[in-house]
Amino acid sequence: MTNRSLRVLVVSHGHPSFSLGGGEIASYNLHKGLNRIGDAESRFLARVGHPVVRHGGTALLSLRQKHGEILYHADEYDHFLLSNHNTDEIERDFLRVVRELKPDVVHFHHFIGLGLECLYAVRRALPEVVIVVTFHEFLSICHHHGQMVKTGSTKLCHRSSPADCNACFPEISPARFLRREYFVRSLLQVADHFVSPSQFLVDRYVDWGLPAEKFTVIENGLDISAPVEPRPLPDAKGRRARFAYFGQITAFKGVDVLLDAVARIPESVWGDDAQLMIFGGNLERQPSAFQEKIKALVERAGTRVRFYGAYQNSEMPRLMKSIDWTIIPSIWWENSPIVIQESFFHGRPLICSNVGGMAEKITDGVDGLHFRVGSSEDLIDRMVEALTDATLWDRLRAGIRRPIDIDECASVHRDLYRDLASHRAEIDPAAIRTA
Amino acid sequence: MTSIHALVEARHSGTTELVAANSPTDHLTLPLDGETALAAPIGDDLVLICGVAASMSSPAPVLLNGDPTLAMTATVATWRRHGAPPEAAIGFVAIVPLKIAGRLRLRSIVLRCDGQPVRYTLVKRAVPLTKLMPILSQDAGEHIADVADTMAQALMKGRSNTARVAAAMSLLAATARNDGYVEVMGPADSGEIFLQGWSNALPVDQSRVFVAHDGYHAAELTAATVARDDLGGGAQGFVGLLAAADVPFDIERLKHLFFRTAEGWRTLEIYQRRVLLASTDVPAHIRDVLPRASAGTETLQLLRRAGERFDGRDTVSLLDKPIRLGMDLVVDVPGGGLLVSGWMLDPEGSVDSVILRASGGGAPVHASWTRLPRPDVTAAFEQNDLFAGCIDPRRHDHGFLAFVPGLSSADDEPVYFELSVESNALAFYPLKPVRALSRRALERLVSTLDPRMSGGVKAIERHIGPMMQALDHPAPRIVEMRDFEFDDSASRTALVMGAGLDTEEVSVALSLLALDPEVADMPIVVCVPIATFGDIASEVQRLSAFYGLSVRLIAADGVQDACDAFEAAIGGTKAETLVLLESGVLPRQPGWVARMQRAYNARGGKVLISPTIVFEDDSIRFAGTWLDDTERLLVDRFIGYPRDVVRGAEAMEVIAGTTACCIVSRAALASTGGFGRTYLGVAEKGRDLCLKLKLAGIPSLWLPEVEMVAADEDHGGSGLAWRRLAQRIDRWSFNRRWSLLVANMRG
Repeated sequence: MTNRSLRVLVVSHGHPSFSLGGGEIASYNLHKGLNRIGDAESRFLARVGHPVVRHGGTALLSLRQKHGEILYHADEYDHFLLSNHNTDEIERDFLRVVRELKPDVVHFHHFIGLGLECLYAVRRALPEVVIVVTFHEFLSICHHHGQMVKTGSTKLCHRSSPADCNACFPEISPARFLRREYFVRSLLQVADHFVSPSQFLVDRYVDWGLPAEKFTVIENGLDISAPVEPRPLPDAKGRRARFAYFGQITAFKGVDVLLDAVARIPESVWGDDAQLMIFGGNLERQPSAFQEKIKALVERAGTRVRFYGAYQNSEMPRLMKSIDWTIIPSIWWENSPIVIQESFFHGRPLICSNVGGMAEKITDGVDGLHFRVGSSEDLIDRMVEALTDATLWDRLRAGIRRPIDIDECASVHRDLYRDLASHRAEIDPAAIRTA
Repeated sequence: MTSIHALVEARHSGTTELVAANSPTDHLTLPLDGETALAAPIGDDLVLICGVAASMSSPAPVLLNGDPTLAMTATVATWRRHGAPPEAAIGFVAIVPLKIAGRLRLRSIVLRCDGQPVRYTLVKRAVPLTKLMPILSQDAGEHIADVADTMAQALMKGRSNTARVAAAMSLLAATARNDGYVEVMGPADSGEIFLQGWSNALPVDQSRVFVAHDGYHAAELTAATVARDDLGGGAQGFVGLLAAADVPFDIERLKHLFFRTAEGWRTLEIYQRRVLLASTDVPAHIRDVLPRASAGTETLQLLRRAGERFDGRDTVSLLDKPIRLGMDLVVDVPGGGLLVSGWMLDPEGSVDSVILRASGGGAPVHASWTRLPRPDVTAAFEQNDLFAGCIDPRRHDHGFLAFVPGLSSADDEPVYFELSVESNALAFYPLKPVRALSRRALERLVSTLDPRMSGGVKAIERHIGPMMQALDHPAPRIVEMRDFEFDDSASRTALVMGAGLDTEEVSVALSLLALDPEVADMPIVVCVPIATFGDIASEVQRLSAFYGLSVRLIAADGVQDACDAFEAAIGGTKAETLVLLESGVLPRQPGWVARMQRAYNARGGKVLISPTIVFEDDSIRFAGTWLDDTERLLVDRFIGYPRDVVRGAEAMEVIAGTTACCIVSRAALASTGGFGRTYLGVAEKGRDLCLKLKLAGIPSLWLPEVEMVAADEDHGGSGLAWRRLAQRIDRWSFNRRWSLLVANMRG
């Protein structure tokens, strides 16, 4: 294998053409990067589901995507066990692709919607293939959308257990959670290796029972050609007073904390030039109580906040031009939100909650500011600092290190694959079914 | 007259037999010579002798064949023969019992009358009773009824047997005149039969009657006349209650009744198009007719009482006294007995007794029931006008629970409570028993008990425990079997998975087994209750195909838990060695079967081996059942402790393993007869099985190097209370069976 380029199949839970989540973009970027760097040849298989209409006789479809990209329709998904009940089609269609491509590496960038059975199917079909799984959140550990936040509150969850999970979901017995844990973990262990964009997430998974030696932290690579200039200020006295929020407006993202903070910053500090710009949508899909809460907060914040609606990833450089700071007020742990790299790439310091992947990626006082998670008071203090300390923005901007791009990311992955492949060759093939 | 003599032969056995003559008896008449008599044998031990004499009295001493050692005493019916010479002035029928041990050919008898012995040679040809009566009738004329009456009474006296009663009845049938008809009849719930009809001469109040009903039986009829204007002559309507003296009557087989008047015997025929009433309709009929009935006070009182019997309605709730009753559960326990659970609010203590009635039987439950707290009942009635001021708000023991063995709700007969209130009134409460005691019904029942309270303990010991013992769970039975690449012909070991109602549990368990290469190659037998078979079969088929498992899926009837499933599944494989696994028990690591197999083989297969099982929170669920030397009790040692306490422990023999996960020989299991079915929970079932195996020389071994994990289902809430109770009940059952053995065990 060392004498030829690696054949890689990147499997994703979604295609960016249909679903613009961080995981989808990261997996697609990896696929693109691998094909670009040489010594590797990647194919991309992404899951689609309802409302995409499928063909009757096969779960495979292309929907006029680019060469080397295959779509796989999967809908019989068990969200509790992360399991795909349509194993017939996994064997017939998903495995057909796998067998025909004969990849050296199958890299699952998430398996939501596809089902953990896909890992097992690949292992059975190609016993010697290297299977890598990238984690994007804690879905395997936490039934609460993988957020590790307690239901019915914004309390962070530090460790899952059947009893704790039952406390979050009283209608689901600890016995079911125990089954979920063993089922998910056992099938995950069919994989050879795990990749995580943050050490924080690695630690959680290791604590949950996956072997630490099977993990590698690789940051997601960015697919941006050039950074944008800092926002031009109107005059010498102009302040770096444009704050931006990028992302969906959900209860976990802490937009309510941000709006509350913005509304309460003294007028003397806020001034005429400060602005909170919200780029994101999906509020209409949230529970009505949350929608009402956000509407009330927006009303209170008045003209200080402006909503710009949802955006495409390709628009990011243009949006970055108009802002100075990025705020990530998430009340959940986050893993490695791509907006951190994007902001860093464009030289925008961040203000973020002091937990999880955010706290890991953003260093307080070096390339951004931390505030206590969920605390609008603390966020007010940080924003006041940003608005009143004239040199802070420049100091933090200077502390930013350039994030890796997709080619660098792909290279790291390629090197990892080669290591794993050579290690795998030493393993007794008889043990391949051992979870 | 023929010279052939009648022959009566008495045999050693004490039975007699008529040796029938060859010649016909049609032309026989009553011998009038005073020296010859006719003989009509009745059954084996009685003979009627008929002739004439100068005088005759009753009773009369008799010598059979003139032999003083064969002395009997006969009852004699006589009639005066008008115009006959003095030496033949009296016609007689002597009813002679034959108390003989040996064989005897009866040729003659000597009758002593007024001290004078008279010898009669018996006409050799025996006369059947049916032929005798016309002969007598011809001679006795108007006296025949009295004669027949005396004969009948004599026949029915003393040792009763079918032949004698039949003979008596045929006498009555031949002579008794029809006197009326029974038009309506129905069984009263108290065991009597209600009769309504018309008659000319039926005595009012109590009288003795004979009932033709698969033979003839004596009975008491208590009757009242009822005024009717649709009858001519001297006929009157009547209602009555017929009480059988011995066997209960089947109303459908009742043919006619004989009763005696001053003028002799009469019959009441059953009208061909009579109306048959259900027992619950009888009281209303009686109530309807009672205002027009005439009889003695006692009779009317009896009928009034019968009219107040259970008629299908709840009359407790109609009581104007503060008494109310409600039921939660009535179970006709398979195997025998009725279990009743409910509440009775009687704050003034007016209820004297509560009798549970079913299928003609009854049992007082108020003396044996367990009263249980029901604060909800107190609260519900506190503001009720009827109970105003008489409910003690601190007293809640209104609930009750009773198991009554021996009663059942068979034959669609009503089941109800009969309450006796202040000695003079009855009230009834209908019950609707369910036939099957499902786990859910048991849970509902037991959820009202608190094992920590004395009432709860008593309920277990007196009612629930005995009920469980009586409960006749049918053995689980394989109903359907489907194989998915299953082949156990070459395997010594099979994994047997016992499953309940949870499809996901089976799916996950199979998936995890598939991920362990050594298990994935074993034949797996999965047994599920028939109710889930449809859902689970397609899932098992899918998993078997996807993971390449060899699975036999068995659907069985009568499966309520994993042990039942194991029992059914054991017949579904030929493998000598079985790894039993409850579907909720999950392996913590691969290789667990191989380790258990090694330990099993090292002991020659003469052992049951169980691993450590931990709960989902890593506390110990099972680490062997041990003997507590101080208390002389079996305990699950280490249960609830962190799993660290058994770290490094060596395999060791324990009193019992667990069948939730074990390896054991199929033959050994079969030899014990399988699991006991009188337990509610699988833990005690398993323990019971292990002790049976131990007695059969198969000890249990705890193998701590293997660790499995399982969580309790129905965590918390009512599930916890149920488990606690079930454990208590099972412990009671277990101790009843094993306490002696355990007390003599060495730890």
